[in-house]
Amino acid sequence: MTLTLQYAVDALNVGGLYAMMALGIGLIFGIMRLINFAHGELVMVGGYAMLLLVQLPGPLVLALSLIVVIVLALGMERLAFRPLREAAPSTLLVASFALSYFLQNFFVLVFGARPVPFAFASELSTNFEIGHIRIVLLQVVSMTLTILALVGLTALLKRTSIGVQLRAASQDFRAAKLCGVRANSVIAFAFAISGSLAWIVSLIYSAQIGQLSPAMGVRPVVIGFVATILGGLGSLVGAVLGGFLVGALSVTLEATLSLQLRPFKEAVLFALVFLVLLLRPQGLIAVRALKERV
Amino acid sequence: MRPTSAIELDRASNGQLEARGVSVRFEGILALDTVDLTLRPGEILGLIGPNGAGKTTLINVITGFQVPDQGRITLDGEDITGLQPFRISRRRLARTFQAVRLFRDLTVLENAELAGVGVGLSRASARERAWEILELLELADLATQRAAELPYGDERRVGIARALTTLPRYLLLDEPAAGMNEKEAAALSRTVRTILQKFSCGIMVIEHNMMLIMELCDRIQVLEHGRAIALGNPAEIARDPAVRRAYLGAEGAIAGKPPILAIDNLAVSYGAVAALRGVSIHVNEGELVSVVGPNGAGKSTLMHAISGTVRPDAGEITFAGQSISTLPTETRVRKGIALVPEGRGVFPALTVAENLLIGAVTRLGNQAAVRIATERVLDFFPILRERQGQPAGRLSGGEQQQLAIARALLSEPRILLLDEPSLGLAVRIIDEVYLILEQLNRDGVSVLVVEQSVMRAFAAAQRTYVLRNGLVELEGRPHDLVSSERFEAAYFGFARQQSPSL
Repeated sequence: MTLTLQYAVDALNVGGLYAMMALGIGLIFGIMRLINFAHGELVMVGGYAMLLLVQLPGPLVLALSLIVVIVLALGMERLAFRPLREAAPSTLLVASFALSYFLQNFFVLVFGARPVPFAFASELSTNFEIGHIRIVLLQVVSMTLTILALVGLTALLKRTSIGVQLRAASQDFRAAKLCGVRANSVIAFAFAISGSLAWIVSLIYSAQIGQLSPAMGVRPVVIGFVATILGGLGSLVGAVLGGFLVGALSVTLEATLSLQLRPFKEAVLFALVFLVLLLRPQGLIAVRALKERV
Repeated sequence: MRPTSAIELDRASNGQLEARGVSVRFEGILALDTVDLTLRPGEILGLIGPNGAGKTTLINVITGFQVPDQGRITLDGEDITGLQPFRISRRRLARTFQAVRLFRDLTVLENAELAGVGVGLSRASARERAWEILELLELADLATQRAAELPYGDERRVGIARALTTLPRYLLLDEPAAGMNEKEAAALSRTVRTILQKFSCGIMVIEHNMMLIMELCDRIQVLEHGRAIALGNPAEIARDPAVRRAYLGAEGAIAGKPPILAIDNLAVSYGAVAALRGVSIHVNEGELVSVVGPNGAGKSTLMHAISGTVRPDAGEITFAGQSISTLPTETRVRKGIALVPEGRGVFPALTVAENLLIGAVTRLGNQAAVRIATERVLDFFPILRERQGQPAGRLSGGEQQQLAIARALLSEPRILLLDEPSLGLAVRIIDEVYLILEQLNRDGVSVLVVEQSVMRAFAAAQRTYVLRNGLVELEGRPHDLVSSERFEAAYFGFARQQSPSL
């Protein structure tokens, strides 16, 4: 019983992280048909920004590193993706790869390829127990952050005009433009949110693994991407669901696979994803506008 | 004195090209009704008229491609009625075609020289002459290019060069500026003047580009429904009330109030496939205009080009007197063009209220106005008021169509475009939708509706265009069109020009 509960807590934790990655990727995909592989580098840059700013008071570190990531996200859109907006989705995809490699290698050049040990607020790794469940403080914090982020994002998308415009645009960008929705502002807004989500991931993720490296964004982006596909490309609710599903699968496999098989955990995970997509190729939540276009 | 040139001409030309009492009948419809026309060397004559007026038929009669049922064509006094086209072109009467019809695999030079060979020149002298004409038209740089590789504007000019190689005394240009942008049209205008200067020939131009016609021509003749209704200099034609009625619909005018929406020579292609090939239509303020045509005629492309979701290759779109061709979609919406797209384009996962909010996004600054406008729209569509909290995807087709129209109205459009509003709806619902459109139109909104289902679009509209294969085949008042056999021919594309046996 306690063990199951423990797994559930873990699954929520891991899933929340993946959900935020998936949401950051899915948000951009929904309106631009761009799978932004450089999203992982937003996570990475967030980590390094905290490292550089760590001498400052805590809240200032958080605020400034958030700004750095948002500015980078907006800059990506302005410099790399806006000139290609009319281009084919594959062109955008390649551009995002180029951007991703450029940023990684730029950071290799500046900081070296070796991982730098770093954990913002290392006191977060203290443990405590409630009943018989061992809980790391970090998990509580990350879970709270995840919940706050999802609730905040939901409110933003439901209650504000720009949020409703963003949802409309992600369902059918052309129809949104036909209603007079300004493409530039909605896309910029989406990148800003996507950057904020990446920043939260970088906060939690760097604390979890306790180190930074230029390639640290690659794994989360791949898993986030898988979660987006699993949930249904273009659907925001789907992205969140997909994130939690991948998280749950991953924790379940961790718990159930025998010791010899555990190194192949991800292979099994992706095989399961394959299976789901074979049965339901459109993902968990199908997006109507996508069918017309693809 | 210039040295003798291959295109040196006998300038002492007195005669004229004359058509007298020409009538052509296609299956009971008079395509041309006792039309007279005179073209003198050294002048530029414009031949204009709404689509389907009989302009191309007249050119076809003059050049021998169509034998008239009545009437005579004389060339410098000689009767050429019913002669084979090649015999007519050897009498130095040349024409270009609406579609350029270059030999795609030949070079520009070869294309030009072939026409000379066609009228009996030796290869060498034809080539010499072709060179000279290409130089004259500033096409010499392109001489060795394959015709298939030419940009559109150059292609049209090579077509003219080819016609010139026959050293025409009379040159007939059938929509030479179709599909050209403003710059290309201006270049064309210069070219035509150069030709006039060098050849002193009589030039007749069929064109929908009124600017070009008004600027270029010495005299203009107007055809409507196969009859010549006016002849005069550009100023006289611009003032002529009969021309206004015929050409621009009841309220518009050449020099008077411009139409709210004017599309001029619009060409759109998807890769190698041309969807629109020089379409000109207009909507006057307060008018309800329909565009009908079979599947694949280019109707949706037209709508998307107007709202800016498709980039045209050529042509000009003017809204309320301003060119909007280069503006992004959302700016066009903000200027007052709202499109209800095919398939309605509601946001299925958003609630009805949220869909309406998006519709009002152009007026976010003014919350009070948005509230009032939303209330008014909800009064107009009571069913939407009941469903405000529901996701739009759960509405029935008819309700979604109402939502799409309501949403479009919230941007306070000056013109409402609808792409196949009756698609997928039950007959009763279609009636309702059209009642709404007519009511909106009475309230002063200009409406342009595109439909495959003809009768519905006819009943509501004050004017109709028939679009087929990317071209406007017919234009007119719906009740005139519906009784015309030409309409079916234009819509379905069969039983068209029945050419009498030669």
